[in-house]
Amino acid sequence: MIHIKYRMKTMLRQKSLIFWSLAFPLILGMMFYFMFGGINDLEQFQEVPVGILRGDSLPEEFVTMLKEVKTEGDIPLFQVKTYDTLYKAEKALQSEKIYGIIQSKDDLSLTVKSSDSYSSLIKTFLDQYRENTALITEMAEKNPDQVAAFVTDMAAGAQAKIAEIPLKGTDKDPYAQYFYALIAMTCLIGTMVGMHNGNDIQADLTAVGARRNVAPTPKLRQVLYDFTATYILYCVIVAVVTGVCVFVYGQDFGQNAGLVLLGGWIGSFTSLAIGEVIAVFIKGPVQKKEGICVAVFMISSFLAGLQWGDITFIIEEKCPVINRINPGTLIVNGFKSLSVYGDSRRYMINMVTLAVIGIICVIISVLKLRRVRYESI
Amino acid sequence: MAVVKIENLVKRYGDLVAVDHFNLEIEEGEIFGLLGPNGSGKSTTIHCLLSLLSYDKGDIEIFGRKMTPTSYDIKKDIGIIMQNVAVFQELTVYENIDYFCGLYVPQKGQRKKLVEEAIEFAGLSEFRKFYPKKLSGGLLRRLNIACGIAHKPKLIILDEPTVAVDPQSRNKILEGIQELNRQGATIIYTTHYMEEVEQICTRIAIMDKGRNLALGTKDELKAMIDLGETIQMEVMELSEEVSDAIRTLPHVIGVSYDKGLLKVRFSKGKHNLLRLLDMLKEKETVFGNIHSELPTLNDVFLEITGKELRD
Repeated sequence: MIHIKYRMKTMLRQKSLIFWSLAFPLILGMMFYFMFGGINDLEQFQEVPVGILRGDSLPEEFVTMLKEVKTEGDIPLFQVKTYDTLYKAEKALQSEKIYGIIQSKDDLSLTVKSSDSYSSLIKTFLDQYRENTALITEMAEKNPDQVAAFVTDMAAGAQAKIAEIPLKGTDKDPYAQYFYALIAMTCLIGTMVGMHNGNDIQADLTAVGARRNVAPTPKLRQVLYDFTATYILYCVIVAVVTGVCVFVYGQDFGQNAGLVLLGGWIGSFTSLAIGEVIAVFIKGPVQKKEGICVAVFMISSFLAGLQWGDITFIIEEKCPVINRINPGTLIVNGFKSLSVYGDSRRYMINMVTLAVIGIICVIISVLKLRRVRYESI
Repeated sequence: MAVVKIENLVKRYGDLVAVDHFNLEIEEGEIFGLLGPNGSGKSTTIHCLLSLLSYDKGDIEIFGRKMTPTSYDIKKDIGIIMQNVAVFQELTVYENIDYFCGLYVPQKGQRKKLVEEAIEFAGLSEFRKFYPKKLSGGLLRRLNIACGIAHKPKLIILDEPTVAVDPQSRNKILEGIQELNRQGATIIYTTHYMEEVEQICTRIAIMDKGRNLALGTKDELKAMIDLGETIQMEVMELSEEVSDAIRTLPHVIGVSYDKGLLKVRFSKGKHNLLRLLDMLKEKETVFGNIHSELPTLNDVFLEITGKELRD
């Protein structure tokens, strides 16, 4: 316990580390709060404006469904606006008066300005409609006498399903992702702490490391003590940042606050482990490693949408593998899976991937560190 | 039984041979001095001894057992005081000693007693709540030592512990080392300060370019060289004739005169001073203060290597 206690003290008394780990995310969160606060209030959820063209041969039942589908709160999901020409519709799309244009060509086509949650909502509706239409067609060919009953059943189910799918999550605030990215960034700053852990156990990097290397406490145990101490500390930091986001900045994580916190803790674990790997495998002075850590957490946060929310959608289109392995994105996507899509399976996949990355990092740094004899000191 | 045994140790950094077929045996209870100029391979030898550094060749035994990075049963009886101060800047004096002692002594009660003793020993009682950055250079060195010896090791290795230390702290440190030795610890002391080695070490190895040049007690080392004594005296004016006459005296191996100070180096022999004084009187040369100096380890080093210890 003495090792864990003093390691925690060592970290707590490093003002710069505490600033970056705790104060910086809170300040950034405050900025978000003042920038986005009140812009999107869930209580004021309004229908998503969608454009169609006058005279277009859209199926009548489709247009009816588009107009009548409602959320669980009985708010219409879409506000259908009819335009005389495609030019006018596109102009409205550019000025964000509508979030998508639905046309009859190519078995219903959707034109959107960007990939955001509103356009996803429209797309989901379209996909569902297409799927149902295909099912009815198939049924008509195989069992024409049962089509009527089938359509009645499905219409009721589809209505509920369409209304449900996009709104399963409890948080529709498009700016929530900035707070998710903020929590992800808090976790990722843990790379700096992990790097300090790694440095302080290496004899060729620090005098303290040399002294600890000649002690009879096995190095593996010392690494685990350090890791445990800083992880406990970091769990508290993530809890504080998450708590401030919820209670001070009014960010509603809904019923998922516990899972958001768990995600933050898993993210912290992985970040500490990545920092340890940087300390162990990157050769050179401490300043160089600090620079690499800053680059890692800044780039990872950027790719997770901290500075620009749309980046994750662009990466998803161009190079999705980055979103599958970037710790920042994994954390943010984990949160979004819960809050936007209400999909706990996706959350689990993101968290497990994150944890696996962390475990791999811990294993390779321990393997590298144990029994090492240095070339020079 | 030898506490430390190094056989044929070789450590290379690329083409540079830092430790060159180095052999050493240190007996229990010794204060063993490893003397050599900066870059002579002292610290590298110590790091190899502690299994911190990999080495190209050789065998190292401590307490009769082979030393490896996982020799925890050996490590528990070793105390190391590094050349660079190895403490956490974020922990107080007490906390630092407690932390490092904790790596050796897990029992809280026993450790508390040891930490108090180490604080007392290092004269840090008034500074126990100070952070290292608030300590002077000398106090910081004493903290460094306290962190290394709190667990009462049987073998203590001090690697240049008095670099950049004021005379008062240096004396305190040297007295402390002798006290630790009296309490039963075997000491290995590396330095390039010959005065310190002469003051405290029972046996000395002189190192240069990674090699063990000479080994013995300070008297044994001094006996290895021709120099018997150096006589210095203030002389207002020294003519060439007198200078040449001095060179003809028995046992004279060197004469130098600079800024009114005459230095005459004699090989071993009796009545050197009397003969010199007679000569100066005979030549009617006026002289003032006279100082006779026995050979130092620097003279030994100079004679063996042809250069000063602090070159």
